[in-house]
Amino acid sequence: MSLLDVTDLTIRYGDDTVVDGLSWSIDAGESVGLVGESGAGKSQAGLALLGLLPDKASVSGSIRLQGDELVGAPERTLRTIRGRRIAMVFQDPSLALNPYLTVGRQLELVVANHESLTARAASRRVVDALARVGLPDALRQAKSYPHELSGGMRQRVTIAAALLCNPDLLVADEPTTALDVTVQADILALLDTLLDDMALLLITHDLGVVAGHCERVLVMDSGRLVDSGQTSGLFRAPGNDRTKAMLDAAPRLDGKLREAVAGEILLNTDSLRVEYAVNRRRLAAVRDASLTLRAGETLAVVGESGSGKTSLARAVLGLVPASSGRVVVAGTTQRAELRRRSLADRRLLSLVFQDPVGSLSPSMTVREIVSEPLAVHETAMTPDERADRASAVLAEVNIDPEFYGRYPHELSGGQAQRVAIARALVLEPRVLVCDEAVASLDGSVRRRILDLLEAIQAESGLAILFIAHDLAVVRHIAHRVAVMYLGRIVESGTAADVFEQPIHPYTRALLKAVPLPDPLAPGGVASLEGEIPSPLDPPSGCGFRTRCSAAADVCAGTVPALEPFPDGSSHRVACLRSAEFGDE
Amino acid sequence: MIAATNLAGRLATTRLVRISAAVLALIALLAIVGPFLSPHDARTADFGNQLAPPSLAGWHLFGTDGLGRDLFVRTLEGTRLTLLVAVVASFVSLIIGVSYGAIAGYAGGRVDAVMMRIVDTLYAMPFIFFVILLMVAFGRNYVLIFVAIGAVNWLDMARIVRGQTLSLREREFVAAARLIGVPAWRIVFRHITPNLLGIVIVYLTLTIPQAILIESFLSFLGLGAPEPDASLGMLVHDGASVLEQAPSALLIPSFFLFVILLSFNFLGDGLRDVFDLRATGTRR
Repeated sequence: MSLLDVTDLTIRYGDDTVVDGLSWSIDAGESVGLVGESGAGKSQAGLALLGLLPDKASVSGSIRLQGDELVGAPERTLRTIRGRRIAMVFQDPSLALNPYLTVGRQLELVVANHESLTARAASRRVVDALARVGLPDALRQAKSYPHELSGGMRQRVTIAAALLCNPDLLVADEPTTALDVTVQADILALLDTLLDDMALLLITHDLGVVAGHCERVLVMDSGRLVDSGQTSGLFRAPGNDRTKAMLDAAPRLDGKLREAVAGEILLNTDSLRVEYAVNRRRLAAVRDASLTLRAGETLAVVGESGSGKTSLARAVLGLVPASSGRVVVAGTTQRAELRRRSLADRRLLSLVFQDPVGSLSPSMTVREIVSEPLAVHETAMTPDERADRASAVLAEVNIDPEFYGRYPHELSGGQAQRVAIARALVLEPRVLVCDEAVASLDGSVRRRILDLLEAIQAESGLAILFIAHDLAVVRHIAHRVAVMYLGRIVESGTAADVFEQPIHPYTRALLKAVPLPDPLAPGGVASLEGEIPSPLDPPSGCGFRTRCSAAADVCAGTVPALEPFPDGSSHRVACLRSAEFGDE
Repeated sequence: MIAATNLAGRLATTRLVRISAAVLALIALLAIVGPFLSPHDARTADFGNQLAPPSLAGWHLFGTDGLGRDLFVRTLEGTRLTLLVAVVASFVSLIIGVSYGAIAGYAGGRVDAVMMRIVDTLYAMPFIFFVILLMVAFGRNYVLIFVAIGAVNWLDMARIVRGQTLSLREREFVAAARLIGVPAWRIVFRHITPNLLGIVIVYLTLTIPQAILIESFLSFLGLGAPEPDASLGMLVHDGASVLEQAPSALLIPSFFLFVILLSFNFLGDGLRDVFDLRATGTRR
């Protein structure tokens, strides 16, 4: 008999059916991936297992856990099941933990809810669970508050909380989406080790995550189960167009790379340094960053959170003043502070943000948003001319005229990002900065936005500075790549240099950590120890040495310079030991 | 079951908003049209007919006061004056408070610090006593009432708007506007204030009853509108002095005051729920 049987599960909000006749089951100890793009209903289907849907949802069908019916079960029954028989791990660990309690205390409360143990036994159980999820020095960490832990550590804590009462089934809803790739690889590896007699339902939009970690896959689209099967079979021969489309859109590390282009230099940063004041100390978010970007070229700046990539972009734009160094755009040196930059200089640069809806004024219509830059810069234009120009640009990014009068919250993520791109392009800038511009979008939407940027670039010779945390995303659009770690550029070169002959140990680790949608070579390998150090207390010498497997004594003494490797090439690496393992 | 109770809860919320809005509209309409429907006017004394109880005879629907003036007309005109004072004063506080708060919040830094210390200083002044002194010195007039109420209310509004602006200022759409080079005044009034609308409207429906209470309080102290004009507070004051002979002269204006205050409070609470729902409900 299977552990859990879901039959004909249907979830409605009023007339809106978000899950439609879903049937599936899971055996004890099995790992199943539930995959779909946002809005497919996968999270709703997961929440239903724990009876955690909002009151306004109406649920029908049947969910049987070892024969016990959960649909319509009284709250009292569900409370005994949650945590004890089915446990859940959520996407955002910072929201799942209570900021006012130490992590040890809140985990003890979980135990106390389900079992009557002495305080000492409960706290021993908690420390054991924290040690089991790989929290170093669990006894001490149990006394820390959630804000004192990094995102990866917090997610470990929520997993420990889920494990406390030895549940039969763990439901993990996008458990690694909010985390960096290397941390994601760590957490997924941890989940693998925990699978003994516990079953795992992994809900995710990322087929790469499923490929390496689940035996079986369920694919959902618009509330329906459209495909299912063993992971290896399904990936090799998808039974459905939807699955095929998702597989096609998944990030990969193969396929053609773009060749370097030789246009005029449009953006040049010279030894750029960005500092923030934190508690009367200076935190250097970006150190000594020098970049060049040519017309028609896409330069990807890649790094995990805390690497300084966003600060670098903001300093280029003037949103954060650089404390030293120069930014030159199309031949003119830019003032560090935005308010000192002239209108003519501002036209040269524009920005597309990560959160498409949040970057559009909620009380303005699409047309107003796109014509606003014209109202500021093209004062000679009549309102009609501005509206025409805005419509022309909106047409270019494939927004239908019926959307021109709508407000941002009425748009989907992909549409909103198109509008944001239209706003960024309406003044015909020379350089476009994309700050994680596709990070919040689903696979197929992401692909279309990237294609759009590529088409615009081919037509106008736009230079694009593309900030991303994920190497796989930038692989097929970047001409050149710069990898950042702890405020410094550690490797840069053409896409071929960085993807095919990575030298810096950090770049290699990043590439290994990318989960690939291929069950035979799933990637997602955790190869970095620990976490990125605080930029307030960077290690002496090479910033990466604390996590580097190749670190030697020499690395602690000298800061490695970004130097051509081999000599004379465009491929540059900041590593003291590159000569030793560069040609492996 | 569960779904049904929740639906009922939402309906009740919007129903509360609708009912209280309808009651307020009805009272406002009555206050504007009512006096014309009566054969009496608010000023003519009738010494043969003092403190008459409510009756249909002679069309003194609410009775008469100590001077024999018709209380139906006086109550409705009092309601009109009370509502007018409250709405105008709140509107003034809205304009000043929103502009002041939004500018302080957006400017930030030293400008914000100075502007908010001014607000703190004004808070520390005992306004009611100040107003009483002014009234004693300059005599009773409407302008002073507006000034008194507006001066108290805009401070709260400014604080709330400033707090909200501080968080809006950090949002990406504001950064986008700054990058383009949109002038600061335009960012404040085009990008920030429209997004304050929800909280401002809710807060406004809660400050209006406050203004009504202050006006009534001043009137009750004899510092309200000059005679022979009446406000509800003055009618309550007058009614209290003839409580034993004609209880209706106290009860009827008090009842109007009570219903108006209650409706505004319900409206504010209901709108707050509606705006909360909108803030969280539109994006899935």
